[in-house]
Amino acid sequence: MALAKQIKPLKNPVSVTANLLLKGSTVYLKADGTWSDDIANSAIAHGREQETALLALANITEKTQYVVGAYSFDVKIIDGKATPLGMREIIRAKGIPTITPDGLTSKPEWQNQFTKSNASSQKI
Amino acid sequence: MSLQQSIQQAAQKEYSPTAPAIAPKNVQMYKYDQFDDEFITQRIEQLRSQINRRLAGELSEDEFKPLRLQNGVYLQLHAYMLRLAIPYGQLNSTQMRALAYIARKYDKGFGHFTTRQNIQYNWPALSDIPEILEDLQKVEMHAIQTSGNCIRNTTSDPFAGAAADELTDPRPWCEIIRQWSTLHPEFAFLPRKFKIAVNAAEQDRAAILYHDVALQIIENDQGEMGFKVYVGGGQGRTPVIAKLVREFLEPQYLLSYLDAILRTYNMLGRRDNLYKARIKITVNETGVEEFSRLVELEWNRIKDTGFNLPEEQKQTIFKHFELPEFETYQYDAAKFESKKTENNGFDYFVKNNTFAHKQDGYTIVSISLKPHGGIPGDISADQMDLVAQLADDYSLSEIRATHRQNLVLPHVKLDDLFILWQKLTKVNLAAGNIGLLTDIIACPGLDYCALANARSIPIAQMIAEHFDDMKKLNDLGDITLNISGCINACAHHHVANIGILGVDKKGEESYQVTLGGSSRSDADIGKIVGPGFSGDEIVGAIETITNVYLAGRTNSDETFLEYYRRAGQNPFKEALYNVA
Ligand code: SF4
Repeated sequence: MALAKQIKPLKNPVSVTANLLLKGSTVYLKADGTWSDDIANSAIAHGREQETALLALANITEKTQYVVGAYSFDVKIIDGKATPLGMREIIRAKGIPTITPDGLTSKPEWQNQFTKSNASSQKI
Repeated sequence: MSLQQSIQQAAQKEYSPTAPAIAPKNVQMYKYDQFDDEFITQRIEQLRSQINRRLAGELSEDEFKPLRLQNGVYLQLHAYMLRLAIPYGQLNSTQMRALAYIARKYDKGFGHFTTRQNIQYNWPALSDIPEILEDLQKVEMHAIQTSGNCIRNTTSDPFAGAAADELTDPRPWCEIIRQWSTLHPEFAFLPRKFKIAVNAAEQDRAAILYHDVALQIIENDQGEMGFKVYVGGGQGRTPVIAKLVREFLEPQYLLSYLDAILRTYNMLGRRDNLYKARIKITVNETGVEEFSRLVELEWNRIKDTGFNLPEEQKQTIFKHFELPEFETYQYDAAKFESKKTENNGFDYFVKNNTFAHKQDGYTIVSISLKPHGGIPGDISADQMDLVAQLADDYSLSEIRATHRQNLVLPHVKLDDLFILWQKLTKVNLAAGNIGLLTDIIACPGLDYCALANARSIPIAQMIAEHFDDMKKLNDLGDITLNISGCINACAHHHVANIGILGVDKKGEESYQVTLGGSSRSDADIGKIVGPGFSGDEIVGAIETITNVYLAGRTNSDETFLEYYRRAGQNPFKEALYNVA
């Protein structure tokens, strides 16, 4: 069977996500190849080719030790922006659990403070 | 503020002017020597260098992952998770204060006690981990053996060294196993993880029969102490009760016999299939008779030439666990009884959260980490500090973590019990629900865990909220209810009287119910009762199950498990699904 026939078309549009290598928090790939902690900023692929291109872009930053474990996941588009499909990605996008232990009420502040420049240069 | 300053400050809080400044010297537990200290220092430096090499791109994630896992570092949904070892669940007050310090400084002010008697932090940054481990080293703790395909942290009875029903204190044997197994070069890359549990009491409070090796300390007809050895227990996707391989093992041969088991497993264990790599599968595929024949063969070859613990070293380890000096006094029984009559909450607390101590006038106190509205196993840094202070004031500075995600103060004078309960009440740690339906084990589930299919914590909270009435809970009596977020079964759902397993049903969270499991000496694996329930339906299903039991039991002495074993699944099926 030809390879092209084995690849199923996407069921839903997809975005690409990963975790920051240094801090572990959830980030989303933007169209310019940088990462955002807000899924609404993520690039959206509508077909397999676009998905492959996004994953290749993600792979470039993975090699700079900025993020780890990039993968694509299904999204729903609302007002032109990606929103997560499925509980796992809904919880990841929120940045905190659905239950809130004392002192844990918002997305971790350090997620926003983290900048690309200190990813690979920081020694501990 | 440094760790030492923090510990001093916490110990000097208004709570008790009698608190020791730093380390409690009298606690009966193993203390590091110079070798241990140097070993941990080297280990931290290795990890620091590995992290730096990862950040510099010299190690790929594939190369780095097994290295971080060997130090208890996982990558979860929102952040890294660091799992620390609490050998056989024993902590002293200084260590608890250090855990509080770490929760505040590097995490988000809380920690989570696990079913392996360990603690996890959910939010550390990778770059902070060497520093956290350095702080832990100061209080003789580490994260070794909390992950990876090695011999994991040995678990045991959380009441060890205190319980009236124990034959002997199992902790020295756990410590011997810990020292033998820590980074054992031959067993550093086993086919899969390997867990050993030791129990010396009549009741099994450590679920030993669900471990790769279970050691039950017994006495033979001549009154000599030894081990009954079971092999091949486990949970996960294939729950198995461990099988007996040796009726009586003389204690001097413990290590050579363990060597023989591990060697046999290391040779036969499957490395081709992750799901068939645990020893439970090896034993099943080989047959228990053949497996034990091979173990005996190897053991007979090495038992007199292989490694057995020199008597002198054994004595040194045993010395760390000599009984503390208990006070002899006449406790005021009349006053105690009147406090129970005056305070319903205290009455429940005494009934459910205390256990007979080997010393007259003392009791073992369980602190429930399942308060109303709480998250099973979670504890805030302030609560940790308070527990440390209470341990100093009322429990000879000792604390234990249990596999049911609770804490224990093992040596409390009965005369101090009421004041202790009052102090626990102030910080929401006095729930008198140990062993009752709301003493729920729940894994982190989809709220944190990268492997999860469904959430566990909100389900636990909904059930706890529904069964809010202490009178009803006490009427239901002894019931275990455990919730896992996936088939890995970290919350031991298979062995709960009522087990709940979160599954993914076409993208939706669904909850499958098992009935009839037991993790005690009468071990049994729960059976699926029927199709799963949605998150909205599951509380109603549990209510139905408890109603069937209440209506069907012969009297209130018949426990849920006894009723289930007598009546079988049919009454539950009928009520849940309207089928005969
Ligand atoms: S049972 Fe599954 S979901 Fe729960 S902690 Fe274990 S691996 Fe994670």
